[in-house]
Amino acid sequence: MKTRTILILIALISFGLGVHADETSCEICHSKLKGRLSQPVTQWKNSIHQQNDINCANCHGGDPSAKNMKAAHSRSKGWIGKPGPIQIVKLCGTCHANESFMKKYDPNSRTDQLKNYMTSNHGINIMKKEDGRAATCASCHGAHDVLKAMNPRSHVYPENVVDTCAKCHGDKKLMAQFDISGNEVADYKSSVHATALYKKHDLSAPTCNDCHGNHGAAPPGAASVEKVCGTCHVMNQKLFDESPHKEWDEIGLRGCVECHSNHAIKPPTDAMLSTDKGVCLNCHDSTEPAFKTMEAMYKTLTGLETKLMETREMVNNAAEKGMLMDDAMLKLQDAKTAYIKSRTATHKFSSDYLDHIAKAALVDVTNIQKLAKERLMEVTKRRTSFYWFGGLFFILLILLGLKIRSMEK
Amino acid sequence: MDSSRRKFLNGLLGIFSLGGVAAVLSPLVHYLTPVKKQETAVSSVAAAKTNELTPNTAKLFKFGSKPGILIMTPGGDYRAFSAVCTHLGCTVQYSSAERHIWCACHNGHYDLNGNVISGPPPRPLEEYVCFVKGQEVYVKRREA
Amino acid sequence: MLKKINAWVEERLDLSTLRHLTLEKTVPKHRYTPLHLFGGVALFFFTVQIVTGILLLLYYKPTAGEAFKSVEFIVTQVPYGWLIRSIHSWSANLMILAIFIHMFAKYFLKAYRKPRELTWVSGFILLVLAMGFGFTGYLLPWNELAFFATGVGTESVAATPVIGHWLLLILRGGENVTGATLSRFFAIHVTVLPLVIIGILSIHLLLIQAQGMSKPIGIKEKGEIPFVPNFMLRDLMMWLGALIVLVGLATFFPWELGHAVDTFASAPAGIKPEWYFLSMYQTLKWMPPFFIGISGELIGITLISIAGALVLLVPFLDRKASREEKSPWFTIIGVLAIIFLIAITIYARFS
Repeated sequence: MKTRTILILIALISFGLGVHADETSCEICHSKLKGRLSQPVTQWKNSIHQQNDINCANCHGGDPSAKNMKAAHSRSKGWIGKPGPIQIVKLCGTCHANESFMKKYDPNSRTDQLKNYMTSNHGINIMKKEDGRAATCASCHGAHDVLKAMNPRSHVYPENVVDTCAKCHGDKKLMAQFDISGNEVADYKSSVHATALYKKHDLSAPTCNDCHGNHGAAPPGAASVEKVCGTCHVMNQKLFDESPHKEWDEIGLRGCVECHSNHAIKPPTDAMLSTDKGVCLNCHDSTEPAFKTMEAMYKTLTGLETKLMETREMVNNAAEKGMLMDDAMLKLQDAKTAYIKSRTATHKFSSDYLDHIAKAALVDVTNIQKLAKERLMEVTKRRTSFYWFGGLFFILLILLGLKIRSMEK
Repeated sequence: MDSSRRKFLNGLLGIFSLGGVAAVLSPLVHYLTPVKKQETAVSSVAAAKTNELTPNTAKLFKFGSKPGILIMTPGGDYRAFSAVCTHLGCTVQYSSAERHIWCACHNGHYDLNGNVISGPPPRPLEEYVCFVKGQEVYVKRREA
Repeated sequence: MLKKINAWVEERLDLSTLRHLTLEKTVPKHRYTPLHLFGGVALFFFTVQIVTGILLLLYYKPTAGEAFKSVEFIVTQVPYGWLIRSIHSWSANLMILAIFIHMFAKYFLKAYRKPRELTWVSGFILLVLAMGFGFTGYLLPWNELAFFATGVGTESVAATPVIGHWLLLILRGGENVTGATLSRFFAIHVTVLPLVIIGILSIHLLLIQAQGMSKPIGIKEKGEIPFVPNFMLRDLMMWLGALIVLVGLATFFPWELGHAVDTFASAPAGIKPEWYFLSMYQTLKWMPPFFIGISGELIGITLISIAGALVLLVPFLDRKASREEKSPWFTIIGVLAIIFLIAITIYARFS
């Protein structure tokens, strides 16, 4: 408690006086040292704390104006050396849980991190069970090179955060001690979400913390899985809630995860509804009406897909033959929309509903095919006309040749 | 070579030459005949008539080979966007009830600036410039 | 009746040249006689270009905003518009091909030798003009490919010493390829070049009529054939054949429309000029950025200009031929030039 008060005092005083225009003695000495003793200075120099004049002594204590090492590292001046896990959490909380302090830097700054952290498995392990193997603030944000989360160099930037979690959660031996498989990160990296994040650099794609929470990290319970996925996949969740599966959580089934898995979520395929590999077979067998529904939905979807591919080929074919197909391409876009809607519609698990949605796509497809056929007919017409034209002139050519021969005989 | 055969050859040549001339001229005559359907205006697209939309409604229009959406905001001004959802490329629509743009495929919502409010779309919709000229509302691509 | 008209005209005009052409002009007959027909084929394609060009002008609109749309309108809405447009594009390429064949044929027959030096020189100018037609016409549909290819093509002009940048500005009508460039290219394509080419073409044809066809050095002649009607009917046969090929190509491989120019889009990969510019394009590409302090582009352009000048001056360089002696060295150089041009063009096309 005492240290905390002193620290706040130091922080406030130093901030108020702005004495840190000059280098502190910590910087001067430590930057001359080697390896792990100078590294903190270099890392801190690029950090958000340095930019805001939060320096070594604000966390480590001691006397930053002292001329020698002993005086600087004086326990009486509050020097604590390297803080332990619990100390770290408390130290960060001194400022980051202090609303009036944080507001001075950023009026929108949140201060609930410490509170959330205390509810997380990480927080419970560290603070309640005093188990130092779990993550503290510094494990994720870095000890000295702390940056804003949306800074691309930050350890918790969307494209970096998975690897940050992987420092522990990718370590199978360590994870085995907590009954966690340790495959989660590798699984995630094979998922459609990882493709969106790393290949398309789509920062809205979910990473670890988007589903598990960041400071209050914990696996979502069975009842909330669907809600978590539903924050982005709203339509799927809405349909799922209208489906016979809406009460899954009552029997301990985990919504979306049962069919799509959790970390290794692959782009959905029609095969998920096929009669031999369909995901429905995980619970239902072929005697149940559910099997019939699956079969019917599979037929509708694959049928639509084939038709759409067929149509696209017809349109491309006509385009390759020199016909302008812009209007057909526009309609193809509508058909594609209807097709994607149909795929979403499967989440109601009703073949009638799916057929109803798919009908729109079928109408589009039929219209486009008609258009493409007309254009292809036009191509044939042009070519036929050419045969007549070419034939006529070819005969004329031969007649001319005969004429020359008869003239020169 | 007897003269009758020569005459026959000349006759055939004459007929086929006439045919050849006709075959060349006929497309030309067709080409010169004015077309009924006149070409539409260009770098900008006439998206709607000025009396077509009422506040808080919208319509889809053809912008090149992609769909665009023209919205008359509840405040009465025009806004136009690419109607291709940035998530999976479905065509978006205007939701009068919610007063913003909505994609039915995966329930993506965009505000009247094209920015994503909720749902899976990763990027905002491309916004076009609208201007009213005479009885038409024109839409064109925003210049850098 | 015909005689009366004839007499009426004769009273007012001297038709002796025409009569000479129809009654007395002959073409020497030997095994290379058919090679003389390619000039006529080039002339045929040129006529097609004039006719289809005028037809396209009826619907084409030469502004950045409307050019692409108007071409699209021609190929989709106007009856047979697709055919006219496709023929215009195909005929342009076939014309240049025919000119090349014609030129090499005359080269190997040494038809350029005294007294026909000026026919060769005017012919070479016609080739350059035809390429100018191709270069300016390529931009007119205002599609993506043309837009970027024109950017690259005009860029090389900037390598000219001292006035390079000024030339570039004159050509483009500004720093970049814009609607101003389109207006300029359109003006050049439909007014400047046609006027010039018709002048030069008249000289070229007049020279041929005045001097008659040349006879290859030391070839055995099998007599003469009258120009009218025998040789002209052969010309006509070639033209009919050319027409069939032209319409066939235009029907089965309609010239692509491409995509409208989007000035903010980045250049699509694989921008290459038309085939008849590929050899020059590749030569420029092979140049090092700098060579003993001079920009590679300038060296490339100088090399191309020297090559052009050499071709232009062939009649004056080949002294032996002008003395009616065989000049095998020029034949060898010609063969090497053909092999080089074909090889470099194929390489540039597929690299």
